[in-house]
Amino acid sequence: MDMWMKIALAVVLGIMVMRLWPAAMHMLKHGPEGSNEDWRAALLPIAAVVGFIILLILMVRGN
Amino acid sequence: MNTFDRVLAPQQDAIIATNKLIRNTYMLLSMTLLFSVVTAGAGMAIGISPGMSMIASLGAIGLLWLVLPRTENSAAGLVVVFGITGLLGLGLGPLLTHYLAIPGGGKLVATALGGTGVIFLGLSGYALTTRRDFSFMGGFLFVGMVVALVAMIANIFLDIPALSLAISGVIVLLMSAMILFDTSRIVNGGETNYLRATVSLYLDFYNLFIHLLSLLTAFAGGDD
Repeated sequence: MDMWMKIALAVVLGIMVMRLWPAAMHMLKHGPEGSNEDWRAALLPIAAVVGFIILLILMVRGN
Repeated sequence: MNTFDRVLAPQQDAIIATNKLIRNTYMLLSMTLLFSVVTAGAGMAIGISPGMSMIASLGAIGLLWLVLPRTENSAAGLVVVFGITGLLGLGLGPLLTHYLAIPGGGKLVATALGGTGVIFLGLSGYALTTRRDFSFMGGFLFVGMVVALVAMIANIFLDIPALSLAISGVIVLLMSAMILFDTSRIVNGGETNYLRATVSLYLDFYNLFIHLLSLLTAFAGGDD
């Protein structure tokens, strides 16, 4: 990647960070808190995704 | 109208509005994804350069940040959404050309696309059927995205393959959780505009696909 592209990409990502940071802090401070059951309900499908991705990796490695 | 009807009527209206929002969002999402496939194919056929790809992606970000907020409540917003997704698809051209040039690259791209579809439909379907509110994950997800973006900025210049792999792994997990988060916002009234809802879900799908492809390529032993 050319240096100008690297710098342009870094600048755009930097602007994204600056836009996201206040929203992230606001959500952390004022957002609703999840119970243990809420987190379990969210982490269960994410764990299934991890298992599925491992399966995909095994599939492509088997080629 | 008796008391019972007066209590139920606003709830029924809300349910009808939510169902309409869900239907419009998923219909527009499928259309924008198809449009992106067409523009990505066009990008590959034309053979656009990485520089042009970056300009297309920057154009999409510009539309997303500056134009969509001003047009999201009008018919022009629909054109803007197709503009964003079309430009992002076009920007994928060189990336897909690169991956397809790797031995077995076609199978990798197909696996990543199919895998993304399965993950998206599974998670979105889970959030739609359980109707659970996942808004509590917002702070965690946004902070995670900030950390991932900072790591991406560092790796643009450091160019460490292991860090690139770790970033892709983290973003795949973050986008999976974002699908739950964004879908639950549609279901539970946190998002009421179908154009914004479509773009949010589209970006989850887009980022999930790119980083899953990167992850699969790295583990398949290809050039990442």
